[in-house]
Amino acid sequence: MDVVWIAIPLIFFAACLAYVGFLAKEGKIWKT
Amino acid sequence: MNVNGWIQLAFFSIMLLALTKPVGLYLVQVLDVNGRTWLDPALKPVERLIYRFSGIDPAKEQDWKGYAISVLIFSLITLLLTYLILRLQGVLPLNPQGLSGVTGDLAFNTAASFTTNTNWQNYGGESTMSYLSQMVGLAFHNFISSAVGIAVAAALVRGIARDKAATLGNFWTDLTRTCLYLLLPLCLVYSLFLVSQGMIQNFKPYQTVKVLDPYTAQVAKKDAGGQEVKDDQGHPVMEDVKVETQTIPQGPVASQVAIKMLGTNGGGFFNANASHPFENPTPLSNFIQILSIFLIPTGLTYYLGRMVGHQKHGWSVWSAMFLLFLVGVLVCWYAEAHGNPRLAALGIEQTSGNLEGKEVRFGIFNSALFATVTTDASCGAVNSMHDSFTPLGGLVPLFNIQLGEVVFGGVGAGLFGMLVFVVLAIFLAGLMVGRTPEYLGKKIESFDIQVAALAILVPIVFLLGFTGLAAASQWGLKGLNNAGPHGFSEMLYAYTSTIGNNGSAFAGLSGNTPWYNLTLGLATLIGRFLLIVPVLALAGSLVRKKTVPQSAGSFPVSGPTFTFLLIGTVVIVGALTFFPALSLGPIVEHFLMINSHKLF
Repeated sequence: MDVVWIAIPLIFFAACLAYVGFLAKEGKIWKT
Repeated sequence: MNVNGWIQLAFFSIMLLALTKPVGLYLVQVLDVNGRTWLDPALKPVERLIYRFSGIDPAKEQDWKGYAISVLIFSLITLLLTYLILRLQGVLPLNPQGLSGVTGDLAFNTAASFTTNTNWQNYGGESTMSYLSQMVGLAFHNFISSAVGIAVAAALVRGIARDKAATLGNFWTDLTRTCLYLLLPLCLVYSLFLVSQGMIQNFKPYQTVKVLDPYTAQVAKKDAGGQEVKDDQGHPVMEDVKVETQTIPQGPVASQVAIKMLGTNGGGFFNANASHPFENPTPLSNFIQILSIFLIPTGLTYYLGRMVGHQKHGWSVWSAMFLLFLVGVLVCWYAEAHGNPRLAALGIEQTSGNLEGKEVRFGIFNSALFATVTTDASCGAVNSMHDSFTPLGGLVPLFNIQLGEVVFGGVGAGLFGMLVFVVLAIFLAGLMVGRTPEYLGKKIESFDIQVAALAILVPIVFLLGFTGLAAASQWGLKGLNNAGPHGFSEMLYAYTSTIGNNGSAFAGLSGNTPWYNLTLGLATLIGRFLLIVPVLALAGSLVRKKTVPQSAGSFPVSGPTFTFLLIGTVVIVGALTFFPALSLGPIVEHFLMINSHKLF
């Protein structure tokens, strides 16, 4: 089970890095 | 609400005000890589050695993306390190009680919780954690998670203060300097003070002593395999046991409590947290512990004013925070001082207020003050059980966290959270008068508002979503010990506390289950990092903007108008978001308490 509990934070932080990449585009996030 | 309480409240407020400027001025030096402190002769060589050993160039600054990536990678590595320590504690040293390794789900929950400055505890410290786990796995995070919060706040303030720049500072130098010049020296002195008050600091095995007055207790009968014996209806079979001895836990408590309070971490060495006599021995230690929660956050408001060259702005933010604190503590104190009419009807003395779940050494006012301060900030230490507060008394800590813990707040996290609300408040003011909003000469544009909205709304979506899921699933309901609105409050509080990175609990929820360990652990990560990323994106956007001179049409960011606009924004966002959920929990419970003939 350790693999699962280690994989969860790894996936979460990978998603956070993707979030950084998404916001780094610095255009409009949604149309206003 | 007695005179003693009013005097203490006045003294607390005066001390808070008096400490703001000196702490703020010290922070200005600590958070400047070229800053000078009186500790330089002793610590500068250590700082240089750390940079050389780690390959850090302190002169090299990072843009917001580099800063965010550093925060994320550092946090991930330290989370995994703590996970391993907890899993392996059974074979690691400093474990005189021979405690076994922590289970995988609990280790994940605890590692995530301490990495994010939450310190939600689904375990009893004295029965689960070895001294090595407490010191290296947990207290280590108390230092670095606080330093990460302060670093991110400093990055956002630099983003506001700098004119057409590209970088926000260097995360590694901010982290190093905060630990080295601020947290470690303060905690050394603070720990010694706590020891002087009677707090223990040792590596002794737990002591077994004979009790002065042996008694008989009923406990659940266990079979040869250690499992509880159940009767035909599934209820545990009880048996009489004569209690003649008591185990008194020991350990390095003072060193952990110092950073637990100063770093607004809150994770107790003992399960009873700051109501345990070893963790809060005297009225003075109680007062200083409460004050120390706000020490760095109050100084950060002065740091803000100094850095942006507008000290009145810093004081206006401080005033908004202080007024919100004052309202909270007065409501909580009033509710607890007036007791529970249900208990009064049963003939239980309530003239002294609602003393259920309170440490009588501290009484009503000190319990209400502690509860308010610990949830204004993202501390989470407790000296009374919030679950036993009256519905309105318990609503105050719950709503404090739901406001975003921006009332002084967690170290760093409180300031950057409040600055997101400042941006939102200025945007709203701009809409009202029909002008492009400006914050200290920087135009607030579409991207800034969108990331501010993401910072506020994304954690809230998960908070309410997880609560709804728990309320609608057997996994969630299985952990409840109370039915009706109080049970709902316990679930709502758990997810509010973890998303808010507070860590205090409405006790009564059995959180050490795979479901709660997973969802509450994820909640701590979401509440921390899905806030920090957009905050740094906001800082990155602001830092590149040109600062235009203030004109007659610029919205003033100091004075009563700004202060009340800021308070209004914080309260309205919090109230609109959480009123329906609060109605199902503490609000309906309050009306049941004062009116209904049916008691859940």
